[in-house]
Amino acid sequence: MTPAVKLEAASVRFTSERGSVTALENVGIEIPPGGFWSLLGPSGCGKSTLLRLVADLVAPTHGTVAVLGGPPATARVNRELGFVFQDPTLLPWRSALENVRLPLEVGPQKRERSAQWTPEGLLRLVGLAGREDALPHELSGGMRQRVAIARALVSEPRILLMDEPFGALDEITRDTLNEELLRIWKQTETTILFVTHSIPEAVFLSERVLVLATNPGRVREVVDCGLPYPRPLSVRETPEFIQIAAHLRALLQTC
Amino acid sequence: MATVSRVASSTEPSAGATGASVSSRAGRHTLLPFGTAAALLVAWQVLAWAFALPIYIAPTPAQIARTLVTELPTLLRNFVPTAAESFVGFLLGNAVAILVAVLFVHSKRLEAALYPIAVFINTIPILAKAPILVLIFGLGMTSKVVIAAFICFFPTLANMVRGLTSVNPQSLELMRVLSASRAEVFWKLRVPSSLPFLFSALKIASTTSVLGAIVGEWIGADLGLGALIIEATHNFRSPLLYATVFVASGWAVLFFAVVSFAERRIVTWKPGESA
Repeated sequence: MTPAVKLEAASVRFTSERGSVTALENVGIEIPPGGFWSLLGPSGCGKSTLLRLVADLVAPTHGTVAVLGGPPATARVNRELGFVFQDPTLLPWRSALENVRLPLEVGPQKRERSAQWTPEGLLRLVGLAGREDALPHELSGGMRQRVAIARALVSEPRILLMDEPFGALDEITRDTLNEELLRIWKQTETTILFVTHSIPEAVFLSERVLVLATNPGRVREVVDCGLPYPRPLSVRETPEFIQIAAHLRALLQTC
Repeated sequence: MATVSRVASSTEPSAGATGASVSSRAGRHTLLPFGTAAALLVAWQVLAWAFALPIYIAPTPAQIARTLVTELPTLLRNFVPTAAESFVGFLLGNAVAILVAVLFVHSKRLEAALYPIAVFINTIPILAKAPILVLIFGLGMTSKVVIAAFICFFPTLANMVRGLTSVNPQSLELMRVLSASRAEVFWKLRVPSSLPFLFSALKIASTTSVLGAIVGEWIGADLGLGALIIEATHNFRSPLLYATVFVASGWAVLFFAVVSFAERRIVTWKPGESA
């Protein structure tokens, strides 16, 4: 089976007038289709850069990146990538529904759509039924991020890239959205790459956690979470959960 | 905004101008400026009586009001060309400014070549530019339209360039992930982002275009509020002068109010906020 994402000896160097920085060095990973992986690590470890490599927003300086067996640009043009930023990045003049529709109005479109996910249906999926006509400034931070998730899913991407999507939200909203994200993942069978700073969030959501070390950004360890799905929020009080979280915390101290 | 208060204060104490700008900020204060205006008019009337000021130095509000009625045909005859010149100048100046801004955004080289020239022309005072334009375009309405257009041009150009380029960088990344074309980015992202900037410029232009038309008429015109101002001043017809100024600022205020109304209907989101 073709991996959803495959990096081989991938390095990214950013060069500016003040010198060059190695954001990622010699990264090799293989993410199977339908997987839920989190990227965890201290600031500046290249988590976001890795996500941007997959999204074709950054090109590798060395090594190769394959997305769905081809170059990332092909996956992007084929609309197989959904991206959720830390800020919802909604267009403030468009209503919630119109924001979700944006990906269907710009860029090349998929020839076949499964008609399973309409913009209206996706807003319902993220719990925003009845708020279709609300402008972004009329919605709370959590609601805006839900709109952004619906927008990322509307072109039915096979890979969903999420760059600290819940980082700016309060804990209660974050817990709710974590649970909903797992539900959406099961329903859509999308491969998810999830960048986070939070150890509990990474353990709760993912099948595997990719721990990155800094200076230069590199893979420290891939940790298998191994907790069965579906996971209720109470899974966070189980000894297994606490053990994995403790292991990750110890790892991060050496990054 | 500075221009609005300048037009208002140099012509007629308060009345409409302040009223329009305040009401756009908070509806419940709409009546307040009218009260202030009424109080000022009464004070003016009383002071003119008390000091027995001659009519050619400072006519009373009552005399001006009377003139507004008796001289209405003259005022209207002179109002029509000024209104037309400022309106056409407004359309022309802003249309060219928007077009040039779009070109600048698409070609950095063009912007580098032309923007400094535009800044330089803008630094020439309108009173210096006006005679030159009258020499080129003649004493008819064309020269006034061109002067009004000139005065509108620069603020709109500067605001539009800023509006079209001040797009949230993350929105641009989103468009890239969506593989949007340049045209799609322009129409779906840059143009809507620029609208709040455009409207701030249009509000300035709505009042300065009237100023431009009047300045043009000062240089030389048979008809128009600017010509009437010169004529009334030379003949010491102070009530007519004040009445003319009242009509001119009334037109500017109306123009401003219409643009503000359009802004409120079109820019329904909170500008500057990148949700």
